[in-house]
Amino acid sequence: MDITKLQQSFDTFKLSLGKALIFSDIFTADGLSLLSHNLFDDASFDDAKDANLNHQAISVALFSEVSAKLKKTLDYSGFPSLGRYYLLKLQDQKLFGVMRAPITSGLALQQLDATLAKNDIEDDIMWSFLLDMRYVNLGLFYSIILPKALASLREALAEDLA
Amino acid sequence: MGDLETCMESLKRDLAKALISSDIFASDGLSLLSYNSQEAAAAFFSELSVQMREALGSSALPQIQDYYLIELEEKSLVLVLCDNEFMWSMLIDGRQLSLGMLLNVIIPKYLKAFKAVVS
Repeated sequence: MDITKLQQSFDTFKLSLGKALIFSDIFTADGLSLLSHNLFDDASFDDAKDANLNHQAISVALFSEVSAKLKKTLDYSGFPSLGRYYLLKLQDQKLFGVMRAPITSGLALQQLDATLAKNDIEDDIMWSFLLDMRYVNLGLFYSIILPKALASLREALAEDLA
Repeated sequence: MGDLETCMESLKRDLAKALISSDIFASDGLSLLSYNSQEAAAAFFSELSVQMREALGSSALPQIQDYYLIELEEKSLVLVLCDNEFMWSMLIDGRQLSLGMLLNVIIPKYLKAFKAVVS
């Protein structure tokens, strides 16, 4: 993993989305965040929040479990395997999503697609985000920002030590 | 049920080859209506929806409204339309349907029809 490239792709994602990106985390399958961003310093979480808890860290931990379950159950039930992302349309014009890419050090980028389905979620890096849909052009997000972020994430993960 | 059947028939016509399978089911995982149903799809998506809602609730985030969308391998997508007690899952061949058509035409049209029937 190239940490500089990972940070660059995270920064580019933040820059592309501006105030539409409420929070974002790049995290591992054990539910721990590697890189984290919160535009409003926890203000995105509703009034029911417990001031003693870090709700962004909780969302990372719980959605690492959701992602693992999703992948395992899709495989078990005969569906095609989990692809690159899933998205949840939420109340208050919010969109929550999780992108994933495998840690496949040493593999050529063109091999990653084939590897994606075969890898266990334990080998994945995940990238969650909460968007305010009032401030983002969805066409731009789906056609440019999302694929670009995934490509840069996979590039960062495929990087070997020199 | 009659109206749900009308919804399903209309979806099959609109999506044609793009629709691989579909299930309308209650939150307890019991299927009400199916088209080319994948085994245990209804139970799986109802359980997944519960886990997603619990994760959002525990994270103090807003709850799911209207739908969630999962990209799968082989250029396919799963769309799950959500009402309080009922869900409508669709396995879609992404090569046969643009994302713009799905998000801007199919989802609004069938969400409205689905909610009108089950509400």
